[in-house]
Amino acid sequence: MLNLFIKDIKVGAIFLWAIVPLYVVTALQVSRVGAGFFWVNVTCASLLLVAVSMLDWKNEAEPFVHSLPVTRAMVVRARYLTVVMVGLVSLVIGSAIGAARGISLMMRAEPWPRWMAGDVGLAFVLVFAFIASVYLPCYFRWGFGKGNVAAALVLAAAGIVTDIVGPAVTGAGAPGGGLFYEGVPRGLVSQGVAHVASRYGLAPAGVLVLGLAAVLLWVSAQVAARGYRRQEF
Amino acid sequence: MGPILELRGVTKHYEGFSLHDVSFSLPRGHVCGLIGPNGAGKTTIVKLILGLAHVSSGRLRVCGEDPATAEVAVKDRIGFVHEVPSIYDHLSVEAIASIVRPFYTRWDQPQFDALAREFDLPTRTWFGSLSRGTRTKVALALALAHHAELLVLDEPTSGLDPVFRRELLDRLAAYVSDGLASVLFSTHITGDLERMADYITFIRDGRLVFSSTREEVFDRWVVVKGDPGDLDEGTRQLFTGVEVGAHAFTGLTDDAPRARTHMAGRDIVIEPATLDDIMYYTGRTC
Repeated sequence: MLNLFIKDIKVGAIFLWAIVPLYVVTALQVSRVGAGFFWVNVTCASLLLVAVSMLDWKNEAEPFVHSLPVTRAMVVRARYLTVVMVGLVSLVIGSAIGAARGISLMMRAEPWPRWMAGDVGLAFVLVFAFIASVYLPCYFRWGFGKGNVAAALVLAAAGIVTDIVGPAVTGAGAPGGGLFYEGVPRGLVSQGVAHVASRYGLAPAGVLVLGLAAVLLWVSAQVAARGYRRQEF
Repeated sequence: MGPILELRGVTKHYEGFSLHDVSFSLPRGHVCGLIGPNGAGKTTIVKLILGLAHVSSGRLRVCGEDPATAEVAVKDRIGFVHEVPSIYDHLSVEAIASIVRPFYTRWDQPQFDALAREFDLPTRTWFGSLSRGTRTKVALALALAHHAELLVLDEPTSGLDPVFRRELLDRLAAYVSDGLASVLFSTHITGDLERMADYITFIRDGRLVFSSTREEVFDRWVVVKGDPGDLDEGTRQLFTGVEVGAHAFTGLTDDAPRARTHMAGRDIVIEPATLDDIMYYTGRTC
């Protein structure tokens, strides 16, 4: 599995290095306008996720990969490992840019941005884990083309549901504002994580979020492996 | 030691195509040519051996093991060259070798380096910018560098120049000469097989027509040419396939003595069949 992970990194390196500068430039600009930066980070991380998966498809390399001494389950597990790495890289880039923006604000005697905080980082982990856990089973079951469409539909549906459920749960938009954390990116997950962190502390929230993300990815990997088991090349 | 490759009643169903009840085996130290027209099922057999597709029913053993349950161990012992090798266009040959290397327990880097020099591979060039022939050479070097016990070659010579093609055939003959390694060579360039295959397996419309030693094939199969007037229902029964022209008929049979006896006294010519003849005339009824 480690060899497949290294393969993913070596194969993807050139494209990852091409995306990262764009990622940095975009994120730097968006960080000027505040909490929207969070969603730019999520989008760029998702682009990296799709780019890694695209390479086998674009190169028609699946027969080659599967002629190596590997099983389909190993290919799936290695891809999840790659995705965890993509998430970490994105988190590091986002944190670095956010910190730079925070420092520049403080140097102008402005307050540290609320969106550049541990709870928002945790929310990023959870949102990205959710996107990956939807995307990868679709990719492994239906391939890059149909899989992308299927994942987009599921994610769009999830977005609509959270838009409806979110305000009802957090009370945002209601008279008095409800549980809405100013400066924290909008969205059920980011607001929810901010709420848990403010109520129970950042460390327990971190354990909860990382545990949830791990469970999501584990369940997703089982589904992906099941879908990929019968795939033929 | 048992055969390196064994198929018993292997069936694979696709929508619109099925491979039916295919049985043949390949002993160690031999080359088996897998022939058949396009769409006959050759590539399906290759995919089943490599685990790229799943067997619907029947028994498949590679190096004595079931690829479905011992996938990694089996693939560690197989070298594969695809008709049009697709790896990663944006990676150099060197980078591809560095990716492939850790997967194989018996990878031999000096062997790969020697093959790269021998095949004149541009190791720092992107794979995507290589000609089809050079891609095949890369895939072959990768397949040979891990001392595969079974080389599976799917139409490997179709993109190669005649000089390298001949060299490749010599190399494959040398590769199996230790009696341990074997080659399954799927091709429609039958001249390659007539030169070096020990066994010939002929697939047509998803069904096995025959799987025999090369000597048996050339001893048994003959082409009979004669006057169309000598053809009747009885003589037609002799032939696996027959083509009737305005002035002559050509029939293919795997029973030369019977054809000679049955058509004795008629003005016919009997010639040994080539593999091309066998592929062309089998099932032909016009």
